[in-house]
Amino acid sequence: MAQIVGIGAAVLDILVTVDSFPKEDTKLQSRQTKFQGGGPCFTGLVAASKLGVTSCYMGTLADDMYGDYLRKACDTYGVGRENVRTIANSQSFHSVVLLNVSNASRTCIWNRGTVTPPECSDVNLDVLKNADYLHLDGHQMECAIYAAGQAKALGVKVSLDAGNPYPGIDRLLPLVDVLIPSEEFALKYTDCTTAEEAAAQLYAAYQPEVLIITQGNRGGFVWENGKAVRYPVFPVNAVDSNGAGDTFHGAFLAARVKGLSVSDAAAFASATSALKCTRVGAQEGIPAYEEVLSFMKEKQGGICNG
Amino acid sequence: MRYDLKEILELGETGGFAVPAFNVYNTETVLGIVQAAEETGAPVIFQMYSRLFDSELARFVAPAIMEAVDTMRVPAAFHLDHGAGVPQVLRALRYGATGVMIDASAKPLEENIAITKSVVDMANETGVTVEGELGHVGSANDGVSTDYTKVDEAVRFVNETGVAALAVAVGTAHGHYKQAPVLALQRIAQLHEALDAHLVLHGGSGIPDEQIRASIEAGIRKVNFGTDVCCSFLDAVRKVDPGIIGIDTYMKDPIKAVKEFAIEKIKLLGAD
Repeated sequence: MAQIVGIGAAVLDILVTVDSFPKEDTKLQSRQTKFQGGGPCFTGLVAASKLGVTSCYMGTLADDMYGDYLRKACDTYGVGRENVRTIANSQSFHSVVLLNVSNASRTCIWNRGTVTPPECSDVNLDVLKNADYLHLDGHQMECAIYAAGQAKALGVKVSLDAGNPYPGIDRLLPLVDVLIPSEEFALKYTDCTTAEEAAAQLYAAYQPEVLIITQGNRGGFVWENGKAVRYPVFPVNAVDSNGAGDTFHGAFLAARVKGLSVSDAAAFASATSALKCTRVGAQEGIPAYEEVLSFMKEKQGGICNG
Repeated sequence: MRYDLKEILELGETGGFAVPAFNVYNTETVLGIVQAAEETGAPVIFQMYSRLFDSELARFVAPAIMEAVDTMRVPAAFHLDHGAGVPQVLRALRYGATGVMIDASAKPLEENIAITKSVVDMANETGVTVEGELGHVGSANDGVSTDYTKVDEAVRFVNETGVAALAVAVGTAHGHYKQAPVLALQRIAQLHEALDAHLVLHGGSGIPDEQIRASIEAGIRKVNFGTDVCCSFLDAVRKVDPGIIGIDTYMKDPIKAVKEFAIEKIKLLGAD
């Protein structure tokens, strides 16, 4: 049985590493091209699994070669796929990601493919009821809302990696216990000018048990009793930030499952995310639990609070 | 056995009785109600007032209620009483409530409908059903209003909001009555006939027994007891030997008092 169940995007990323961002209407030789599994939800599940917490993906995958790759990625990283339905004659959700080594930026061009989203009947309630967290990313909204409602009725906490205000998000947000939006989402959704104002507004509207705003390489903060309490940032020489945000979510949940407090879990997630940035690959680059602990110990003197 | 608000009130509709809803504030009041329900075999609703959801109290008392609801042999529900707004409703859902009340009855009808419907939509995603209020049940200190809930407005309210239960103004008030109220039994019967929602009587403390029985006969399916739970508990607390130091021992008689009070009301409502 999985401690974290995920419903959301599972994407095949084609990572193209380049020395500089290409100019329009030109050709550019890449340093390297790699395939790997991606998507906020799926990568979060991989992170949790690599950190020693059981996870499973619930949803649909295409029967194309990208789908095969994603199934293999599940098996490689120990993400359960017993509750994945294969959609015949469909194309996977996929993306091309340009990784610019000159500034560690990532630029993503994505396509949902033709794989149909999961239906409510794809949600295995027997599996869900035994989980600690249901992890969502705003994709596959109808199924996500249904699963979140069921999770609440079953006493399972609902976590949302809020990256984009997809249609239906208004219905999902009231059901979320662990709300971790990006600063970009928070500002856009609330129409506020600062992340702190946005946090106050999101908390007032949705009363999540945990509210954390992530601010990319500036770190972020936990919203605690009406105040922003910044979590530590671990400065590193980043080579690939792809999947860093997704990793934060998976690591945060894994840390909570392992019994860490909200603030310690946020620090742990920040460290996991930073360490991941030192390695290429959104999923391949995710470290193991012990690696993160050693990294945190090693960096103890050099932590800066955002 | 954990029941949803609608499910537990269906038992009353089928059996021709009202389900008692007792306001609880701490583990001791929860225990008193548990013992009363188990002894009589009655379905019960544990409810917590909205104010408790504005402090730490609800978060800590809710697990005690959930433990009761999940382990009792009789049907039981956990309900938010007089939800003041969406934040309280969200917290109640987070803590496991199987029913929530949203009270926007002080607002104009259109606004009451809009607010209540938004809560119904939200709660229904989690399978939780909702109690609304139409026709404001005020405080007994202000005297009992004869401005009863209108049938045509109630039909519209229920149809447009989708509430499973409706608190109605039929001659009751919250708190201690200065003189015994007279319930609008005919209006209750009209509302029961017209509505696809279960009728709730607020301000159940202090209403003469024969009027309670008559209101159930007319169609009331949930009766709230708030003030009298407090009084039964606190009166007993005040009588405990002050020399007793162990709080668990100190609380034995107050728990028993709540139990005895609840048994009396369970029998009065015909829920045993």
